Amino acid sequence: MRLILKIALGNILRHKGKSLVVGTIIFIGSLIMIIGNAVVSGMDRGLQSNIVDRFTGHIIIVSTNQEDNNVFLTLEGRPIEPIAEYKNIKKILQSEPYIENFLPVGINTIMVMSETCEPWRGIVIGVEFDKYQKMFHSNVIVVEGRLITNRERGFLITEYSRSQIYDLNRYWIKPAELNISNNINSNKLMPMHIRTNLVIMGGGEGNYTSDANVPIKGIIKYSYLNNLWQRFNIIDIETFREAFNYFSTDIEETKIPREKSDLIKKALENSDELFSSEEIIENAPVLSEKIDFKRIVKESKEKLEKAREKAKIADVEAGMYNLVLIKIIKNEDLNQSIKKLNKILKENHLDARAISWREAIGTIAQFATLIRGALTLFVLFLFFVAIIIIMNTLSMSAVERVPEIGMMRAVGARKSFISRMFLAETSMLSFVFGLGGIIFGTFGTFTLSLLNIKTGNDMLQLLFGGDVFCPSVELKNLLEGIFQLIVVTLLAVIYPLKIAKKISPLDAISRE
Amino acid sequence: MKEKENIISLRKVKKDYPLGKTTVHALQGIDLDVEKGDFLSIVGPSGSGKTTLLNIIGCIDKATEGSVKINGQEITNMNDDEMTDLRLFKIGFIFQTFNLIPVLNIFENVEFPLLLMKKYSRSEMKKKVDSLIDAVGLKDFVNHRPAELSGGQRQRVAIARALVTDPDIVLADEPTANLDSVTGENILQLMKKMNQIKHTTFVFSTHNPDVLKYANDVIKIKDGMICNK
Repeated sequence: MRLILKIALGNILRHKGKSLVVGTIIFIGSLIMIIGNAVVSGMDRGLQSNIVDRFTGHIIIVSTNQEDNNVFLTLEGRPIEPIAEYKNIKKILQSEPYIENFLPVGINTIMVMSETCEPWRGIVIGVEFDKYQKMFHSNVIVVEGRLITNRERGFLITEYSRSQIYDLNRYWIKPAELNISNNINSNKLMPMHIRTNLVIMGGGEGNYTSDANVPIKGIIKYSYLNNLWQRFNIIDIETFREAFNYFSTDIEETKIPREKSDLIKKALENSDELFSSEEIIENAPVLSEKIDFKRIVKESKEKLEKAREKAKIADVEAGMYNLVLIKIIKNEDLNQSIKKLNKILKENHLDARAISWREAIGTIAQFATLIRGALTLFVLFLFFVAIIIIMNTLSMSAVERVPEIGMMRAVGARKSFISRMFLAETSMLSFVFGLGGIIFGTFGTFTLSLLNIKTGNDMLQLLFGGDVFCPSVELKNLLEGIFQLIVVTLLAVIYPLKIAKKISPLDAISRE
Repeated sequence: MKEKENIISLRKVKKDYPLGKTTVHALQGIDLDVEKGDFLSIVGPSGSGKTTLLNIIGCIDKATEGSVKINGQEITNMNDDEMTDLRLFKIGFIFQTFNLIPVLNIFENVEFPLLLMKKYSRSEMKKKVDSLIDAVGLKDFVNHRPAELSGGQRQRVAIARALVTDPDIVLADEPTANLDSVTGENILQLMKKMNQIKHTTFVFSTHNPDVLKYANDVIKIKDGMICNK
């Protein structure tokens, strides 16, 4: 081995020009390979962080009746099938050890009704907003007004949707609790109709729908990938259900007439007053000096609040949803988790199946895969070119060294020795220049990520995996790079090796 | 009885080279016996078949027909690895153009076949290499590269390399062709000396009549046939 390495090193130094050509190609190839892998890796990480962590979760549970898996970016108007048995699904999700967190949501297309104009169609997510923000790292940020609080009724409309509605209906939406401020475009101010409430109706091909009047609480945007998610408006789950005629008093989907529903709501609101008026209590006839009315009222109020809360929780979770968004524990295998989950859902005969986030965002994932594929193809093309150039240079080198190799064969070197010698030469070049390329590539990637390049372009956002270009070299990338380098070296050396192995002692003599 | 002492034995050896639509008959039925310790010269004009004969004896080329025995071992049916091992362990080569490994120094060039043999320890190898370099008079040049030596010095290195494995046969194809007459004379004297000391069989081709005085035996070859011996 020492002899082979010595001859290999000697030959590299002897043919400096050729070694430099091969080395430079290997260097550039490794450099681009590492940066390319880092971009792909950064894209993956960015998509993971900006889509999975902040919008979809890893796994999405849909109804078994749901035909199209593309539940987030389905054509507007095509309804997402409801899941009827969330309570049972919840029990399963709570018992699965690989699940970190989950959240049921309603998602569908609504129509914003207008007396005079065309209804505007848009997507809305019905959700318990506080839980949503907690699960998705407060991805929703308020631009005007405020966010909705715990189980408050209200509509959070995106800047994009507001502009669309304005363009269609020429009225401006503003949060009910916000005065018109200077930050509203003065061009749009006059003449302007202002709306602080919207009448929405669940849209869809076959759904039962109903209208709901909902106050605008805030104008929102998403802190990450806003261009992508700006179509998704948010509404509290109860209003969502009202709009779609899903209701929540039992596991089964129940239709409640609107008049009845209003009466129940009113009764609940007024029931508070029965216990809260201290005047009535103070003026009531005294039955006994020992009776502490204040304490009784206080206790009763507390009990009522608790009962109401309990009832609300039960009601909310008993109602209908369209999706359950699930985050799995870090480092858990996504495909395995989906398999396990689907198995258990099936075993329990539930109207639910699990799909991956990539399936759920359909087009975006496909586009991301396309970008990733294009990058991979580019790197492969570079590989191919590098292999051809290295192969050609080494083949020329083998032909030029016929007398030397032939002599080695004549004095007793087997073909395997010649192979090892050639391989050692190429491996040394690959090691030195390839390692250089990997190191420079790593530094290059680090520098690129420090530049903090931002984009508002949808396509670039997908390429970047977010708003900021953040390529990252991970250990996996380095190992990948080394593996690719080995593959390139081996592929590039095959043909020259074949030439070298064919050289016979006779060739050495006949060249004399 | 004499047959058994022959280190090289060729019977009806023919070698044809296809050349387009025609065939060149380089050797046309050679019968040859070389005894152990012989110092044999093959002479003849260019294209007579000297080099082809040496190549077949040296297991570098295969005969088209006939039998070739080296040390009593038939080589015509050997595969590439067996022929390579035979060359390594039994035969030494001296080429017309020296053919040293340019990236190795003199010591390493001589040591090269020993490293391929994997038979000796480092100290044994060093001892053998040093003694041969000393014997060919290049003790002061051990760390030099071939490019730093004259033609005669390089051929001495080639002789040392050919002898370092203690081969039974050394084949030399016109070893003095690229050397001036004085250096050529010295090389032949050195080969003769080694032949006498180590009793190694030397077979060399030449068309220089001056070198024939060193040969124990001379074979004249013409048009692929031995004319006289």
